[in-house]
Amino acid sequence: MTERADPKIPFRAGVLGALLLLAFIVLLGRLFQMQVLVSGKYRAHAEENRIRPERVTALRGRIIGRDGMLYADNRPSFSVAVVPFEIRRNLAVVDHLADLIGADRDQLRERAAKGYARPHEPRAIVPDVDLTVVSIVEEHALDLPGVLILTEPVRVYPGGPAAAHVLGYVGEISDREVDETKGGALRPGARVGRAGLESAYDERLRGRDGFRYVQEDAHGRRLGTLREEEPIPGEDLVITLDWGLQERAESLLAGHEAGTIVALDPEDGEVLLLACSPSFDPNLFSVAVPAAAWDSLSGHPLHPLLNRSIQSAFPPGSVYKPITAIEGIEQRVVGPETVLLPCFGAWQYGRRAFRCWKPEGHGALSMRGAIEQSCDVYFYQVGARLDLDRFAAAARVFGLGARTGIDLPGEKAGLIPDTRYMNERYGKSGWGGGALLNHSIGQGEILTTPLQIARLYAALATGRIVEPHLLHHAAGAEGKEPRRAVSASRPVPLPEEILRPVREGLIRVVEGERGTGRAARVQGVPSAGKTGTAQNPHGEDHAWFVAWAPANRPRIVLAVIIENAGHGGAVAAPLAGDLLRYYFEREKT
Amino acid sequence: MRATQRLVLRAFDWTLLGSTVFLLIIGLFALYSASRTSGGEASYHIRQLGWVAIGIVLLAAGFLLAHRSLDALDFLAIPAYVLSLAMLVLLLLRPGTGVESWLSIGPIRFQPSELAKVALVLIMARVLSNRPPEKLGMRHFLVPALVAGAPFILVLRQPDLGTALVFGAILVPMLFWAGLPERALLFLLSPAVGILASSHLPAWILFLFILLAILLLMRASLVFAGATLGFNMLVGLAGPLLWNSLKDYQKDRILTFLDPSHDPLGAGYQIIQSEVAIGSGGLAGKGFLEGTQKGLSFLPEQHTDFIFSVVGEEFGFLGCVILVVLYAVVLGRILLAASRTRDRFASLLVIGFFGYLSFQVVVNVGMTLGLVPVTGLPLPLLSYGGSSMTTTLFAIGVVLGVGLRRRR
Repeated sequence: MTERADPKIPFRAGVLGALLLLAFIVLLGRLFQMQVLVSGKYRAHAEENRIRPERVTALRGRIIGRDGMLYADNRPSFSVAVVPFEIRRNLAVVDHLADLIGADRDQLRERAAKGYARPHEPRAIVPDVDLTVVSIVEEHALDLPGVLILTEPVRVYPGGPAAAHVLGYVGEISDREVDETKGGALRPGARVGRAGLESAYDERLRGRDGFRYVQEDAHGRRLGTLREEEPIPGEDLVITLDWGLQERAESLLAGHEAGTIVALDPEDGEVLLLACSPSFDPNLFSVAVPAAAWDSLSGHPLHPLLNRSIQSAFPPGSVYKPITAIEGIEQRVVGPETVLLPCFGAWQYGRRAFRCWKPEGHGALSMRGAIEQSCDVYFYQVGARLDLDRFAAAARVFGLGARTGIDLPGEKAGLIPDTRYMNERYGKSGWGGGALLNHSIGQGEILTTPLQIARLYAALATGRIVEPHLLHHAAGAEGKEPRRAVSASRPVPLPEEILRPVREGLIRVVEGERGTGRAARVQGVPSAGKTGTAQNPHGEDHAWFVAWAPANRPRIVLAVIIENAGHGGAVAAPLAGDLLRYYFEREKT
Repeated sequence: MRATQRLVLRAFDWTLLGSTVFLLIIGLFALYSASRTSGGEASYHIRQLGWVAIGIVLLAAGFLLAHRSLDALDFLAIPAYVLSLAMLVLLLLRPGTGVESWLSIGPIRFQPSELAKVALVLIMARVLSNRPPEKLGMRHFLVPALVAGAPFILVLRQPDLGTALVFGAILVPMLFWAGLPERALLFLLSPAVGILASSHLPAWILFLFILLAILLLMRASLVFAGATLGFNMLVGLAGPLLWNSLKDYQKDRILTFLDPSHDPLGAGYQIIQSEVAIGSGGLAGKGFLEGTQKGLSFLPEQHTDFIFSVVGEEFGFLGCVILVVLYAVVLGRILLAASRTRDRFASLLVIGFFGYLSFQVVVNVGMTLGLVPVTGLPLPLLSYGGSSMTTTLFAIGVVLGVGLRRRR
């Protein structure tokens, strides 16, 4: 430390002092202007009027089918709201309100006390009231300071439970989410997408709220609007669902306890239908959910909120056999024409007999025949000669074991086991070649979602792997935007010589004399498909059927799974046939 | 003995202490009034009295340390700095809390950023006083810039741009005071202006031309001119990139900071209410406790960041002038103390406090008048809050102590 004075210090002190003085002069000048020159203007504001900010909720975008079906819309609704800041001082007002409209005092108090994050923003405490309540509150306005009626749009789903799992629902935002979106984008009590498309495209559907400063006199009479910003409504979304197919699939599923059907356009991945059973009514969530309704939904043993096409992973069973066949040919374990040892209803591997689904056996088969009749013994013999990791890689080529990337939240990836997985789960010596036999018929550890399976069959049909999606295009306020670019698809990195025989086998499943999927036949439209009967440790087998049609120039691929229902050929294939018949017959007219 | 005591009494800066006490009293009355209008549930003035008491103890401590053993303050610099950085990091690591800038240890809650302000002043004074001014080259200012940069970044991440800028308001006057060449100041400050202009290409190009003109006028060397322009280009290009990497809600926060009307129901509304309150106060004000502006009671922060609105409404222009003059006296005496002391460390210390307090006074009052964006900076000595009160009084204690040293 030096004790010598720096000669430049007085100069620097002068600079800093001058800067500070300048700042203070600016402040005093502004004070003089506000408090002396134009004080009257402010005084008028302060004494006669008060200014209340008011939010103008933006209209949520609609969801419309490409065929014009209106899936999600808005309706006006009144709710009783309080301004937290004014209520905080005077909770007796809330009691008075409760008595007037016949609500529970404690419940209202609790809702009124919820969160003061934005104390001046009215918060709805009794949502969606009828006009009687509105008139009661308006009549007693003078006894109810801080209470007001809000007019807000409420989400409505005209189809009720129709396509509920695709649409999702909206729910009240939490106070924490409000804080995380500062800048006033969201207000307490606002509703945001909670599942399905409502959640995936929430920001585009939501739009941007407007606001205005309302000037009121001491009696709460509105004098005028100071500043105003119009709300920007959310975008209307046009989705790829085919309402005819969707409706028919839902009525078909209604006959079954649990199951799902999903259909894609195999060329570009547009989702034509996605139906689940059991379903729910998303309108329930639009206003505050009644506790009893919520309990019965969330506590239901069959989980009605679950989108079974993307959020449930099932063992694929025999619908997995094309993967086994492809890998067998690629590894030169079998050729398309190879006839393996005949099936007598079971195959001995080590000390264990692996059974075929048909106890009396299929006899000797070539690969096409084995696919047609879904002979397990044939595929055991292929699987026994495969390498687990290469087998897993072959499945991943078709996108199994990974999310498809569909524009819906909460998609499951499924599971394609490899050596590392098996070692981690069972230990290095805890599993053997028998696991591969199980995998070769789609059992064991393998898990797939119905959407993944639908995409797999689209790829088998066309040789290209598509990205499934629901958004057709967004119709903004300024008119139609260009149609969403045809979604990315990538070619299956396999030669036609490998895909063709498998495809031929799949056509025989529906069209062949001994095909297991004959129940899905459509007059005049040759189709391809595959049955599956997935063993389920928790109960009856799951019935699978996957199909595409027409066989040569595929226009639709669909996957059906009916849970705990038995054989795919008997239970699921007729549903697929019904939908395909509907689809192609409608075209004729 | 008696003679030295009398000398000390005469040398003591009674003006500074008197103005400080006067401001504290005004603050307590304003808080009492604010408590009355916000519904009687709050009694901020009582609790504030407790903070003032603690603050006076700290003022005495600061006074004694500065008066008797500057070395102790010098020694405290590094631990205080490290501690405040650690607490700021802790705040960021603490999961699940939004914009909370508070840390609680047992029943005590405080804002680490307030401690960081004092700690930064201490460590900067220590670093900058290590060598005499004539031996200071430009490279010796790199370390101080890094030292100030760490808490700046950490507080910015909270995110609290207002508080982060206080660190700048401490750094720049201290560098200037220590003898940083003008060109270095230009090198450091021009990118700060540049980044504001970088969102608008024509404005940014104009900015670069003005910078070039200044460099030519200064007859800067080619190397220095190149470095300054290059640094500015880099910052200007990084700005938009950085902006695009932000999440939407983060952008919203910054936009709201720069322009409160971006959040018309939050910060923008506060400004309108504050302006109406102050403007309606008129020349002489409405009188103590007579603040009728109903809208004022809508202000959730009237006891903290918007306390000046209460004074403006109830005591009018005359009251505001008195208040502003009192602040001018306090800050002027601090500046005087800094220029009179011969101890370089002490002098830098006091200038750091000068920058810190001046910035907060000007920005806070400017905010209530609608001149400056809403930043959440408290008004020193008036706003309710223990962290700000105690650190401010400690700083003034140090200034009072340093003021006595020049005679020793």
